[in-house]
Amino acid sequence: MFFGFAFRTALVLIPILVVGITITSALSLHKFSQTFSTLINSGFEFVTGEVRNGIQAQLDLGLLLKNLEIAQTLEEYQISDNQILSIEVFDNHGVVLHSSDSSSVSDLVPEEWVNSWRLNSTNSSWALQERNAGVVGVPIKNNLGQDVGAVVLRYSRNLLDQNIWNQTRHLITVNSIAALITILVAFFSAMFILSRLCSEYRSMGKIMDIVRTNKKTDTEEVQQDKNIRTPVFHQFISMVLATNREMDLTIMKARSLDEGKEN
Amino acid sequence: MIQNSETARAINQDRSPAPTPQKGFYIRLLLLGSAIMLLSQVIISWFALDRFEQALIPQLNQKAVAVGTALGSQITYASQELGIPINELIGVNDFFQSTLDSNPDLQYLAIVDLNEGVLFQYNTPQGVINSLMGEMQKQPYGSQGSHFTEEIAEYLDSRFPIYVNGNPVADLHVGVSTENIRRQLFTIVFEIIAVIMVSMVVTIEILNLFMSRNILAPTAHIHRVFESGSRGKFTSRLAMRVRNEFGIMVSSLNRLLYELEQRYQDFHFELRELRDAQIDPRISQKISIIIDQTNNRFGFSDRFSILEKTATQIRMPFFLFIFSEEMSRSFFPLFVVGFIPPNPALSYELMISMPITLFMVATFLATLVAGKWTCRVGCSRLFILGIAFAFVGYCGTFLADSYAELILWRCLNGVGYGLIFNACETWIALHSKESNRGHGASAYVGAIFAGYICGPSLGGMLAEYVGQDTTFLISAGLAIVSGFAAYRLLASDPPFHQDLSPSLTGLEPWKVLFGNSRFVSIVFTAIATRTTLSAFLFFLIPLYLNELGHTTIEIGQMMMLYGGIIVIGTPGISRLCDRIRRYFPATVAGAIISGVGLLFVLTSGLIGESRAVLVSIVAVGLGHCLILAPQYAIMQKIVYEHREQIERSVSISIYRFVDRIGLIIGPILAALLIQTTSYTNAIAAIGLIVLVAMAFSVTFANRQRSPVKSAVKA
Repeated sequence: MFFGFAFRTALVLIPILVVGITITSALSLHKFSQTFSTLINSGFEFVTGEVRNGIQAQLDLGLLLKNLEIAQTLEEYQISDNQILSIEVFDNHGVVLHSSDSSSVSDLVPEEWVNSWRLNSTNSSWALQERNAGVVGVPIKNNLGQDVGAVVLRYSRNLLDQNIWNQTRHLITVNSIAALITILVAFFSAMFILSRLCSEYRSMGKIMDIVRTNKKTDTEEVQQDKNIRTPVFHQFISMVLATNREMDLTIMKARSLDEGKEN
Repeated sequence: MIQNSETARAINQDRSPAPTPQKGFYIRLLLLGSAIMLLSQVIISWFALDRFEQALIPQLNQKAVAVGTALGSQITYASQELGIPINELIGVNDFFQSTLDSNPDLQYLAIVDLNEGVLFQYNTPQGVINSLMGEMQKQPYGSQGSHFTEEIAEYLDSRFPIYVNGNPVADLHVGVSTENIRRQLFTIVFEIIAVIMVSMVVTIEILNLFMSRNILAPTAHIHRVFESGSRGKFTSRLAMRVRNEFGIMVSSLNRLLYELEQRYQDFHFELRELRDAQIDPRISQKISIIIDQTNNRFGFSDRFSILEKTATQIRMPFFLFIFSEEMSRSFFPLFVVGFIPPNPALSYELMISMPITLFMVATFLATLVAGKWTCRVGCSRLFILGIAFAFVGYCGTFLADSYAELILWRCLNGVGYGLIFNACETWIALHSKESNRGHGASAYVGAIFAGYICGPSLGGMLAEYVGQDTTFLISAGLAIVSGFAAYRLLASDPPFHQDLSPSLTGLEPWKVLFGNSRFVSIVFTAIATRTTLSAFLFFLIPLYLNELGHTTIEIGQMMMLYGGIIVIGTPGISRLCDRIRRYFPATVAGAIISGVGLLFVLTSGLIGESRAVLVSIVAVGLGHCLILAPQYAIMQKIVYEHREQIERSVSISIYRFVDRIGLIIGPILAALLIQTTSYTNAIAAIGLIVLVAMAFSVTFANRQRSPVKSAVKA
């Protein structure tokens, strides 16, 4: 199957453009998810911070963390926002002391939570993403500044996932259209740019075929092709024609010598 | 039949693509590819960012509602439960300040009363205060527990009525700025710029390869056939089977030349017949003269010439390999930190530097043996062997569990690196000529720095998104692609032998080369350049910028600048140096710029630490831009001068061996420096070392020149 040179070259541009557009889209989407997640976390950090402030105010009065009566407050916070799945307070052994869901009290929190809490003890908050939920935690310090536990809020990832999915769909649609337009523009521009080159090659080939099949072709006839902008090609063709002519003349001269017509 | 092999050889001698009208098409196509890539990325990013902003604003408002509700209930509690009238509350502004400080995405907080106006506020712009009052007049308090949001100037204002004992007393306003979202999203612009640059570099590299293979090299060859044909020498045809316009044209050319040659043979046969059949010796002699004249006038050959390999053909596989290696550049020292055992044998800084140093040592040792191997197995096989080592190294690094394992795998990477560098340099030395040495060098240097542009920036992003260890796996994949490209482009490159058997072996080549003052001079510059690269760019930059709070993405982007400057600057510099033949002054100027640039980091107190580092990176980039291609051209010239005594690959190995010293000492030197002093002083110290090395280099270069001058005077 014949694929023109311009077509092949234009074809090279397509995968490059597609890869470039795909990387940019993936990157944009990742940034969106990151920014959205940061915003959600930031809202819930405020809520957990409020809970923590209440707890620390009671700790400052000399109460022990396990003795606080905050279950109702936690439940109220949970009810106030349907995205909140649970709010839990765990101690430095990772045992849940208080929770908006009373059934989880005395359970152990996942090891990952405890590690994050320990690693981020100097930070104001930390966040994790689980498969179905986002987790925001803030450390609790007693009146001596010691880390005694953390407040952890789990929220549903539905909103985040839904938004990411919406953006993905939108990006796929917009970028597919943009990619298609870009590819078409690139393809036809490349074809246009290279069409002159291709027609020059075609003309060169045609002229060489004419010269080959009709050795007596007049130089003027083959030099007039406007498609050819390569001077050295004209010189080459002239030399081929001159060689043909010279061979004819030389052989005639040699024959004349042989026949004694010339001395 | 007339065989004129000398002419045929001459056709193939100058292998650099000659400037032809096709070059114009090539440049236009490159511009088109780059422009379309740029435009499409900009448009797509703009659409995406605009849409994202729309989706993020409600979420930002959600936070304002959470804050407003919480603050409102606290104020209500103070007024209602504690009985303090709202306008007599104390410390509200400070409370607002602390709330805004811990929630930087909120812009302002204010309590507005219908009669007394703004009671308390923090950070509320004057224009907004006036609007709040106006809004209050129009719409007094809403119902208890409600809130509503409206746009005031460029802010989203959420209004929460405060009720005390069932009576509305004031409104709490929480303002968020959409500018915050824009600012957060704007950070992606730099990432997109980095992606655009990477895409454009890759586009240019692929188009470069495609066009050189399919247009520039064949048309340059065809041009040489036309040129020699126009002088009457029809000595070469082109072996090429392509089903496109070019291939058809080549077939026509070959057919024309074949028929011309057939006709010439018939013509000659007839002349010989006439001569041989002639009984008159005088006429026979005349015909013989005619035969001799036509022999001298025209040259014919039935040989097909194939397109010979060019120096630039190695560029693509080499670029891909450098790309894969550079992916980890922006985070590697930070990656090592995770492997350092709790009680390290050496200091913490030296432990970070060790994998980098040992990588360089492995490269150094591989370079030692690579010279001989290149002769034995050929450049292409050595390249593929290097890729095999690199691939195993990357996969091992991905799986590494301990510090020792990490070092082992990185050393394997180093071996691959050394073999590949040697294969490339030998390839370029073999396929370059005196007239285009700078051009060949720029293809080599250009590939390295195109890799320096793409690697750190994309690697930094991937490290952030998929993890640092997974980035090594991606590097392994790229290495495989590079190996495949080498196999396709460089294959059938046989083991090579020198035409003249060099007489020197063992330590003799070392003595000869180090007896050449220009070689010693260039070694000083090379070591200083490499030290700067490994100490400053590979080691100190990631650690220092990380300490300044920059992410791996930002570090990668800053490091990308270096590669960008080199890629843009090197071809121009190399062409200029080729034209004016002033290689050494360019290296001196480059060393001064990079040395002074490193000292510039001391001004961080004045312009800021990150900016000072950025200026230093730019200066080092500019400096190296002036040094690298000329330095390589000088080295190639020295290798060429000694070609009869020393095998070219051995000379290159010796140079590389010495040059690698800079790469080895760099990280250790940097680690020792930061152990004793600050990052800025360490960088400045490296700058001083560069300037001192440059002074030595100039001294040795003058030693070479002085005897020449005396000889001229004599």
